[in-house]
Amino acid sequence: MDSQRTLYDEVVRVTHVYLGPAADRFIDRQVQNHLHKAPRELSQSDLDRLIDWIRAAMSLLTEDSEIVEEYTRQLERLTRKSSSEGA
Amino acid sequence: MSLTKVGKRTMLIKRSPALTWCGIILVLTIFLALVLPVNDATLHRLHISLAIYREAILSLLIPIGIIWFSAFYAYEKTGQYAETLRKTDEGRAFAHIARGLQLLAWGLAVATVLSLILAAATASTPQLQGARIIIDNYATLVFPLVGFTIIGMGTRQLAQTVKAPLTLRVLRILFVVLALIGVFFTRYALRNHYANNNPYMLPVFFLVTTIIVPYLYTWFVGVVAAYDLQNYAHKVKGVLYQQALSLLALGITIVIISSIIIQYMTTLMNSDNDLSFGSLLLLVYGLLVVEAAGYALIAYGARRLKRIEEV
Repeated sequence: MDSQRTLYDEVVRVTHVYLGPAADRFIDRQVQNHLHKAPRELSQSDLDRLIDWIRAAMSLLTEDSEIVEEYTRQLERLTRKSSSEGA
Repeated sequence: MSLTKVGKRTMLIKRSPALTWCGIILVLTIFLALVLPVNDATLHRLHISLAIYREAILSLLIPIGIIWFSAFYAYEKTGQYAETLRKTDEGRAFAHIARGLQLLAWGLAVATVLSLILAAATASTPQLQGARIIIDNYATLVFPLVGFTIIGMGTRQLAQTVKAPLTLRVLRILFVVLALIGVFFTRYALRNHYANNNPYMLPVFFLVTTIIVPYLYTWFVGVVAAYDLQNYAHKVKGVLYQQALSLLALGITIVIISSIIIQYMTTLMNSDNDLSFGSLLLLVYGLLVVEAAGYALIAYGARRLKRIEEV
């Protein structure tokens, strides 16, 4: 992961593939409304819970389960990536 | 009237002011179509009786009502989506598109009501016939002219966000297409002017400068707006965003193209042609259905885009 990039930036980058220009607003809402913190304060320990909320939100936007699965897999990769970097 | 009924009505007005206005104007239009006097010359020209004329007008009001409702619903939904984006670049662009659609929707209603009132006025005062035709023609022209211009401002802003300029190749193709449309339209309008004893009630100079050229400008702006939006929908990232936006872009393209064809048809209806009243009515019906489908697609796309901003 680029050292300049925060976890929030990475999550938005992945989301951009699915929600385009709405990506940052979507992630901001999920973090603020469900994790009750500022989006930029998103940390590694929040990621699992955030993915659960994103999965629920995405299932309201599309019936295509493949898209939802592919998206959450990309996000889960960030979890693994961050933990391997931490180790 | 019970309080529950009043409450429900207030809820509808609050939830959908656009549809409420649409309903009010539609009821007013039906009332005017049923009670206003009809010009004998019109009945004679169409070779039909008053009862058949009123039946035809009322039967036309069914698709007209559907197209109005879908047009009002489309601009309301697009406006609501623009509001969720607030002060972002896209928000400002979609606000322009919503305002343009609002003008198109109101233009449909205002032009029809005005036409009915003016037709009734000329039935009792035939001297007003010239003024009626001139006002009718300008009322039909001015709403798409301003509406397409404002939509075009919004779609250009969107195209700029994905760095999608109008290329020279596209401009060349647009020029050829619009030149063809323009030449045929001018030919129809001028033939109509000379063959039918000046049906626009304007000297050729004013017909060309205030009717033909503004229509050509309107169509140019409309076609460019449709192209910009399709280009934006094609280039923007985001699978789900793109799906929803494509519906809206397709809807706007259909509305623009069908509007252009309807304006052509209107010219054809005024000129000498071999088509019967029934055939023309059927053609107008078909085009209205297509335009209504365009507005429905806009509303559906805007709803899906708004949903992305809500969850």
